[in-house]
Amino acid sequence: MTALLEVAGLQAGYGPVEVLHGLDFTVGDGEIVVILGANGAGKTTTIRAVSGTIHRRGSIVYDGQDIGRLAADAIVVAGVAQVPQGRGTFVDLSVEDNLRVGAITRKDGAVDEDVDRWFEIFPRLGERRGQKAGSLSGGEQQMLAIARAVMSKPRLLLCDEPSLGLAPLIVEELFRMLQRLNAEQGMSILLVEQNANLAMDIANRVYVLETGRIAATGDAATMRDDDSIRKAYLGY
Amino acid sequence: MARFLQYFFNGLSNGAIYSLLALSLVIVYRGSGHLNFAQGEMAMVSAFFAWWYGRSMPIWLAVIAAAVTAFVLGALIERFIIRPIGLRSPFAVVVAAIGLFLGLNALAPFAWRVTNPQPFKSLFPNDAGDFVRIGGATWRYERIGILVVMLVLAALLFLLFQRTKLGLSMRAVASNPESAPLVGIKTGQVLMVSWGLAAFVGAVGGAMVASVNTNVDAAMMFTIFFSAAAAATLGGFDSLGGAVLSGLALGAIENMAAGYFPDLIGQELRFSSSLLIIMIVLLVRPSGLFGSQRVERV
Amino acid sequence: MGRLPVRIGARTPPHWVLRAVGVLAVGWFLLLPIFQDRRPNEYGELTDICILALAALSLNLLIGFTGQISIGHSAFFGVGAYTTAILITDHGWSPGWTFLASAVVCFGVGVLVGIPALRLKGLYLVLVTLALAQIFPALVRKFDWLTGGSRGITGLRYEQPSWTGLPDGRAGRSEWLYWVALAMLAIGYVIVRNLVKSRVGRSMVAVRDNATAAAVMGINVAVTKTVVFGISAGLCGVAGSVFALRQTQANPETQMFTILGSIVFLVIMVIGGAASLLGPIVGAFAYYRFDEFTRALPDKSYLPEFVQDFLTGRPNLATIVFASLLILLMFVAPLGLVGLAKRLARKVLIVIPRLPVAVPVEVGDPDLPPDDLPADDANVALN
Repeated sequence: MTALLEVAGLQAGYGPVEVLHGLDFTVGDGEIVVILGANGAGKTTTIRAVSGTIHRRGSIVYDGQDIGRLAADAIVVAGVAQVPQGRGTFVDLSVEDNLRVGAITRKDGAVDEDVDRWFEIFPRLGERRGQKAGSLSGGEQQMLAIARAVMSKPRLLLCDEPSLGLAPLIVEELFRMLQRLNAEQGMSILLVEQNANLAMDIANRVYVLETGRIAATGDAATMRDDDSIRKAYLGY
Repeated sequence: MARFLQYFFNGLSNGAIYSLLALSLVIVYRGSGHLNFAQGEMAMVSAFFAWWYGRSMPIWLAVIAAAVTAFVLGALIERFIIRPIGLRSPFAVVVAAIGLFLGLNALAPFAWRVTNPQPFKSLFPNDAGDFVRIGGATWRYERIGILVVMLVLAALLFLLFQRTKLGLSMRAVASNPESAPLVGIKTGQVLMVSWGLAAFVGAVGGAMVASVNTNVDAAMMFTIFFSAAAAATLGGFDSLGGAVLSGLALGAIENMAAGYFPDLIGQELRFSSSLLIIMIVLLVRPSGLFGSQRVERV
Repeated sequence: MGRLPVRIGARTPPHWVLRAVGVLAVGWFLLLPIFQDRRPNEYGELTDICILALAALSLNLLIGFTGQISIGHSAFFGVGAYTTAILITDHGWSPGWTFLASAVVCFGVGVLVGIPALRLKGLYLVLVTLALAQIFPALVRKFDWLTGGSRGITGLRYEQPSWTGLPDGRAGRSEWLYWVALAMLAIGYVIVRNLVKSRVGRSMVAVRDNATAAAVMGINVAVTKTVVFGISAGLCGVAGSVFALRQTQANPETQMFTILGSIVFLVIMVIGGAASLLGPIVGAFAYYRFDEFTRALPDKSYLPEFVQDFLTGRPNLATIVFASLLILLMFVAPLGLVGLAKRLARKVLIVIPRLPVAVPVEVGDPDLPPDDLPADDANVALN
């Protein structure tokens, strides 16, 4: 399987504080890769480094192209979309406008169709299409955030802790959606999560991040069976 | 009744100018979160440009050219002054805006070597007989024209914001500047356009003022800026429609207050009525009459 | 070559020595006139600087406590000036007592304005104070039975008391007024410094933007803000009183009573450094000297020929240069000259604060930016 995203020696931080100390990981074309880690391990920093929202050093190659020097908005055009932690909803815009703004870099005319399709997939969003997005519940906003990111027709989706603050049933629904995107559209997904259980269920491969370094990696199945991983992240 | 209508009509026209400046202020505030203290002076300099261009072309063409010039200048100011300073501290931006206010105010006489008001051609037919009579009051074409221009411009702005990709980008940046790059919006460009657009609208306002005054003068926008800021405040600073309505309302009220109470208020204190109104409104509704009330989470 | 920056602990002997040197340096400037005779206009200059410094200091207090800016303090300045003028001419008060009256009156007006205004976002306070500044001269002209209208009130003097041993006449008066102005500035400084360093002061800085946190801490933010606004207004009013005596008149045409005056105060605070109490004083000096310099600029014969030609017939050069430098200052030194000096000084010397518990102080990585180390004097934080 060809690697869609190849990251080597990734270093990033905030001001003088270094959070990532040289990460190496890949995401294959059509894979779902999960990065697990506790609070403060650097999960969000990793996502931000790949999406270009923070300064980073190291090699980030996406689809053969070095995106390590590109600005965030150019990276979106290249085909990488981020679902940020906390949803990042445009709270003053309507639900529909949130979807449309996701497609703002697209030049084709099929945006309306895609908007309608999302409303079919998530009828709850459709019901509220004219409402301000800030009035949606957390789970609905998370759905909206994923839909918004997918509207730009990315090949790689970066998801930053989508389960944060959401009820388990909703989280299951979200993860099913991610799986569906991966299965139906071949979308590659890089998912960082604290909630290891559900994440490992849909993952192909798993990395474990500890204080800014990759501590372990392997197939999802193998990692599940690993005692130390189980104890540390799955709680049993 | 005629007197009331007279004050009302003239007040509406003044209000239209307030609306134009208020629209500028709101566009900038929504776009980059700053109150552009220098908006009035930018409009004044634009009016000077229109006057200057108008020496070699028809006045309406000159106004458009001046508005385009203003667009460019506004964008440059955002890019090279406001944005870099804003990265250092929001307070510094206020000071920089004050610096712009002083500098631009001084620049017009300096650049064009003028110390007296310079004649400005009227933008509308403005002979003695150019008016309509309604209910005993005269409404001059010029004043009607200003109102029409403002309404047209406001409508165009509305279409821009609600129906175009650019407008969507601008609204997105205004709503959540951190998320905007995540969907591929070039935030920097959008900010420049916001300021440029605001300057454009302000320039039109400045031209209207010059037309009414029949001259351009460095002090022309000073008190107008204040009333426009009051209108923007009343409208809640994040609503274009609010800016328009508030501008018209304040213009009418100011004029009537000044007209009916010449001793108490008169021309010097005309804007005190605006002050009173905004104080009262803000006490009752801190987000302004039309502003959206954001729920703030702790 | 010693290793820079040198580190000394707070409240240790080296620190005291340093502070003493600093105080002496500032004092030297201000107290030098005791030992030298100066011409009246030199005293006048210094008086003007003290007046500006006090007005800017009042703004410093406001921004330190509330994080909000006022561009309406020219109104308080004017109210103070007129209070003094009216009390002296119409009621025969001795000038010294009018300072107190000014402070009280302006405090009252400030509280009155502050009660509604401070509930609003900072943005709106700016606009309300802008209105205040706009209205003031017009109100003065309107109430001419009290203020003398456009003619103003003239003939204000502060006669030097005999115990000072100053010479009679204008020369002695100028010197006397300088000492008065200096005293007012000193009193103002002490008041502001104590307020800022008080428990309430420090708490306000920490919570001024977060009403919930403040309420939890037991501070009534609204009341505190309003009172501080009043005090700020009072201080500015006293500056205005001294100004009236310096000008020997109160007149609505005075630029200092218009919004331009408010801008000057704000700019002085910013030039000196909004986060430091020394800022207004440094700023006043800098502004005054700069103003002098730029006024004479177009006539400078050292300018090349083509520049002089370019400049003929073009007014406002001083203002343009000033505005440009102000903007430039925001790029280079947003925390003003004092902030810049502190930043540069930190490369040479760092004062490490004493921890409340005796714990060995770990001197951190010298490459880390030192912004997290609080400075020793009142470091009033901006948001």
